[in-house]
Amino acid sequence: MTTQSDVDTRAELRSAVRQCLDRHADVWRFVADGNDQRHRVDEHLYQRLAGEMGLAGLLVPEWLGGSGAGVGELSAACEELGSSLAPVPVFATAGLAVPALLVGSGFGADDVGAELLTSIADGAMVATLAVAESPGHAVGDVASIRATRSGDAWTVRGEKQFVVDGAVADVVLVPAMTDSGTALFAVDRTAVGVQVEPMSGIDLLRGLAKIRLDSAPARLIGADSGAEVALKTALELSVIVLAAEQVGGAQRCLDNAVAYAKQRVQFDRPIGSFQAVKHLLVDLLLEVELARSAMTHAVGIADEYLRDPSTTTAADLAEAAAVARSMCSETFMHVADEALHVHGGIGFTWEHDCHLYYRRAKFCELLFGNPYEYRERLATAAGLPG
Amino acid sequence: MSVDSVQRTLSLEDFRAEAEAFLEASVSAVRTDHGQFEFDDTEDRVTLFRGATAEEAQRARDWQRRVYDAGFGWITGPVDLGGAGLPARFEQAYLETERRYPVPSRSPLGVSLGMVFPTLLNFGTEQVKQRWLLPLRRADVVGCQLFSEPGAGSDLASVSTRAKRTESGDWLVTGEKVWTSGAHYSDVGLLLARSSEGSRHRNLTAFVVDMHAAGVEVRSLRQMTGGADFNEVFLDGVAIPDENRLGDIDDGWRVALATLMYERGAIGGATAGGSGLFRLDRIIAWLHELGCERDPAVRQAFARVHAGLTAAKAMRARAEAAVKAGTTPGPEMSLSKLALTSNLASLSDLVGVALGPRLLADTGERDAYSWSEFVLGVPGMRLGGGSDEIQRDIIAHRVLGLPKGPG
Ligand SMILES: Cc1cc2nc3c(=O)[nH]c(=O)nc-3n(C[C@H](O)[C@H](O)[C@H](O)COP(=O)(O)OP(=O)(O)OC[C@H]3O[C@@H](n4cnc5c(N)ncnc54)[C@H](O)[C@@H]3O)c2cc1C
Repeated sequence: MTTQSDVDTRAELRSAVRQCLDRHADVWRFVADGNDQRHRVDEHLYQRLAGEMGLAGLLVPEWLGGSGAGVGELSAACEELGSSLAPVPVFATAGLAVPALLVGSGFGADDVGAELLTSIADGAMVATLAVAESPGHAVGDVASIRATRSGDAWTVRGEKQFVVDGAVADVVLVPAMTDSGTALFAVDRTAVGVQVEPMSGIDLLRGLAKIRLDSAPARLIGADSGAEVALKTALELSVIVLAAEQVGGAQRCLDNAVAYAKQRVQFDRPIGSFQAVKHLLVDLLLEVELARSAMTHAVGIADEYLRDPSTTTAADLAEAAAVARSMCSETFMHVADEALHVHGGIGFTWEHDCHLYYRRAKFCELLFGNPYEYRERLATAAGLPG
Repeated sequence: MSVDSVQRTLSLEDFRAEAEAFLEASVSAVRTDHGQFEFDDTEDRVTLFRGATAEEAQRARDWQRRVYDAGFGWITGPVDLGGAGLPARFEQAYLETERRYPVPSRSPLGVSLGMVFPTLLNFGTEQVKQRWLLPLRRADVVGCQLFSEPGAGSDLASVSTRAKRTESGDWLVTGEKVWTSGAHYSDVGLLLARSSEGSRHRNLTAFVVDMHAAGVEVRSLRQMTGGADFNEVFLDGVAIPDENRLGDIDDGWRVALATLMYERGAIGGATAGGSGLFRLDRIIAWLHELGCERDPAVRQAFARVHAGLTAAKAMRARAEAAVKAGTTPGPEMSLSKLALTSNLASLSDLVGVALGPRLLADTGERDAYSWSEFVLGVPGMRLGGGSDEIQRDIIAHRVLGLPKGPG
């Protein structure tokens, strides 16, 4: 249940994040351009948001130095981040790594997991989760990453691609195959045998990287087998956080398009008085409202899961995540596209920010599985055996 | 729960229990005929429109009377007017509970209870309220909406039915109304007529008219589903006493706008973007029965329906959380209606993909060809209650603040 005080806390957090972004986020300074496809992040801004404002630790329990808030709070903050496009690794750290660490470590029951969660909550550590191995692989596949044990120590070997903010993360969480099954490992970016290579990418404000692991030292989180279930659930939490970013981005695109339609005059009248434009904008509003509703619903279910992780709450989570994910992905993409269209030629220029949202929408739409895949999962989760 | 016991404070749980007890006791006593918009346990019929036949309307009236007498007929209404005086969430709880029971559909009374009743409540003279409010609520009297005309649909303000004032101060009305849902079983009509040559929106007056009065003629119209839910209504010098006037003379547009708002509220509220009409578990069970649950196209179409209905339901929950109980429905109801027509389109698509040719011709299987009535009803939902385009205009102006167009 979401109480009135939850609602108030979230509204406060949201406006604090928005104020901070209004004051300190200078997106254009970081837009990757031309030959410089190297992705950079705004480290100072990350320090403010993750450390001072505590975004990185929102899902981390209080006894590990976090605020023990919930996805409700994190999603409120991420909506603002999605709206601003600020280049900070909050999603990678708080949205990807933290859920994987939480679920993978049995909610901090494991020492390595607990230590990493504490460093993250502090704002001192940027982390991410390496999900995909190659374009053809299903999300979370670990087929070619091998983990070997010698004594108490582990090393991992293999390659991961499309790692979100992989070039700036201090720690990369890597699912790998052990002799017993699938397990989750933490690898330090600076360790021997770790080679990180930024990939040229469509999203100019959020980078992807390739990570080669050549017998790199790794720390095991949780048990040495059976992590695939935890990973699946963790990724469901992640896509719900991403859905909040998508809603934030879509809302911003819509707001910009509506404002432009009121002000741009053609044929002696604002283009927003033409029904073709007006109705298009209303359809986008409906989509955004429905996507926001699906996301809000999923956020509530995610917090129920975190309060009481059981097979029942996990099943609800799978279903709600698939609903939110398929809708928010399609909505953001569609809204970003049509908002650009309403801006006319100016929307197609490099200097206008329409394309930054368009790029981000595409990035979000395809990164962890496309809307068709999530609808397929939804059918299974809802009770149509696949 | 009886009407006079409602003053005491009642917990939602106790209320639900009382509703369940009432429904348990009633289901055996009424002919089962539930499932408007929903494939049926008892009858092989899926439809968006009910009320074409006199028996259907009569069953709805009988059921509403029972519900009212048990104290569930006007849950949010003030006690002194005959309501139960409870907050909106009790009404929600009752409707949710009722949906689990195979009771007769009350949709033939949708216009009467959802639009005519609140309009009379807010604009009727004392005589009108005394005479018609409770009978309407109990479905002893049923009302219809006499707004649209052959020349005035979306542009409702251009109605040309004339209301002429007589020397006694009463009125004589002549004109032609069309698409009047349920006129064939209605006792009163909510009428919008031209009362002067004044400027647009200042030349209309609203009335409640006795459908059994001399000069009223109802002719049924057949819609594309094959049924006949709506009618043409001819008014030839129909006498209306001035006490039946709703609102001021020449101020009928204000009344009409209120009615249209109730209409959007009734459609948007009851259907909740479609999630109030369809149960996903029934759809899933049906797909299993058809044996098409592994078909990739079916799974995609199903997931769209699932996501659309889940989001619409969550949107409704958000609106409820935001809007305090009791406020008049705002433009979000227009969004809800657009969500409804969009979800109906998705469901229609799923039905086609799942059934294939079985939607086209009757193979004798249950829950197969019977969906054709639903599929053929969807276009009507995009028009009735203000077309999709008119809803978009309303949202564009009221929510997005976009400027009015040339029209
Ligand atoms: C099932 C059903 C039940 C009904 N029940 C009732 C009832 O009980 N009582 C009653 O009074 N009426 C009733 N109606 C009538 C309904 O309100 C009208 O059909 C509706 O308002 C459209 O009017 P019209 O049919 O004259 O179409 P028109 O107004 O002629 O519209 C034709 C097309 O033009 C479009 N259009 C019109 N104006 C605009 C504009 N400004 N911008 C963009 N597009 C525009 C419309 O969207 C539509 O697609 C019912 C209709 C249906 C289908």
